[in-house]
Amino acid sequence: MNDAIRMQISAFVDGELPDNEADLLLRRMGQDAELRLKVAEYLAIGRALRGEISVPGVDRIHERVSAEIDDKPLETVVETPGKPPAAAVRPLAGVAVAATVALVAIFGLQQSTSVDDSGTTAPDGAVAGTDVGYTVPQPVDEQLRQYYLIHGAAATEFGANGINSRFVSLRISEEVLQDPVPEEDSAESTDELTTQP
Amino acid sequence: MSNQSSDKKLVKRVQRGDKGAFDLLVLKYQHKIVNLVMRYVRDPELALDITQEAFIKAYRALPRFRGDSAFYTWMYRIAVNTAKNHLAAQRRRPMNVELDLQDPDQYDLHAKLKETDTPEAITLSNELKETVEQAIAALPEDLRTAIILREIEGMSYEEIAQTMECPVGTVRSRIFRARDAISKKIGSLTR
Repeated sequence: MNDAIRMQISAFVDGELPDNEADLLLRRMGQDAELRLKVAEYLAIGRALRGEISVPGVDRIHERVSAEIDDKPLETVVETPGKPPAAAVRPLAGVAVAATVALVAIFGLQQSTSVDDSGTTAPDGAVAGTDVGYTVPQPVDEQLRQYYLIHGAAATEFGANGINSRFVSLRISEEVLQDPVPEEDSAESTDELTTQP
Repeated sequence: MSNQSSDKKLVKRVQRGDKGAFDLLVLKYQHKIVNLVMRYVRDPELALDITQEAFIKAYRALPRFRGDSAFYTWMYRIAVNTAKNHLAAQRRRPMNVELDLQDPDQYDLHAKLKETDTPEAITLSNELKETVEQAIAALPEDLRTAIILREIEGMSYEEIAQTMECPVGTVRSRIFRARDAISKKIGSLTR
């Protein structure tokens, strides 16, 4: 371990290592236990200077943890290039949910208005059955697609904001609607946590 | 790169499978976390066990950690919950103390260790402190000033550079040379 690396470790301990030096040093420290122990040594010097007291055995905690996790592979996170980050997709999912609720209400309204409109056929040539106002159900995805296309065009007529429907219809066509991401960054979401003793 | 920024990089490395990066995070925070857990339990050995358990929980939960909060803040909450869970399992009421997130370390560990008959902790700390102080006294003035401004006054390199009227690079070099000289004197005391 040469002076240059030890100097970098010293700056790292102080949070003063420039980014361009940090990545290489972190990679090295991940692979070299001796470099990590130098970090521990510099931290110990600081604690001694400040007169801090340590619990006996605390310096061995990292060894105990390492031994415990050595045989436990971590479920690694694989980042897919081009895949939208979860935080960006969540608002879209919210829009989709709101639009779907509107769909249920307005699609039902369309169904009822088509009963009164004898000269109107449902979009895409859905066949009217022998009963007045009945249309042969289309596959759900197709219904949704058609709804958004019609709703977007007729937004001003119904007084609704057509922007969301156009937006969601675009996303449907791109088939990129995502499941909601799980709760994260909560200590309460880790295993076996309770909030009350 | 600030401490928070370096922690973020380390967390990302752990999430990609670098266990050495997690070892580094443990080395950085094991003392703070143990001191925090000692607010809840009297027995230092038990505090070590709970701290170990907290770090292992954090390791398992790291794939889900997004980085919206600082790693230490997240780790702090895990450690507190782990300690409280342990007390619940032991059917004891937790200590009624105000937790200070800003400075959870030195609430009165000295007194706590005295109560629990762990004089060796105090003895070792005193020995180390004396050795370090002797090493500091033997340093050239510029190195001594730089290390004291950093470790005791908590100044940034930029602030130290302004105080000592020298470039930041010189500050970095002086602090490193001070640590290097001290570490040669203290040898095995820190391991």
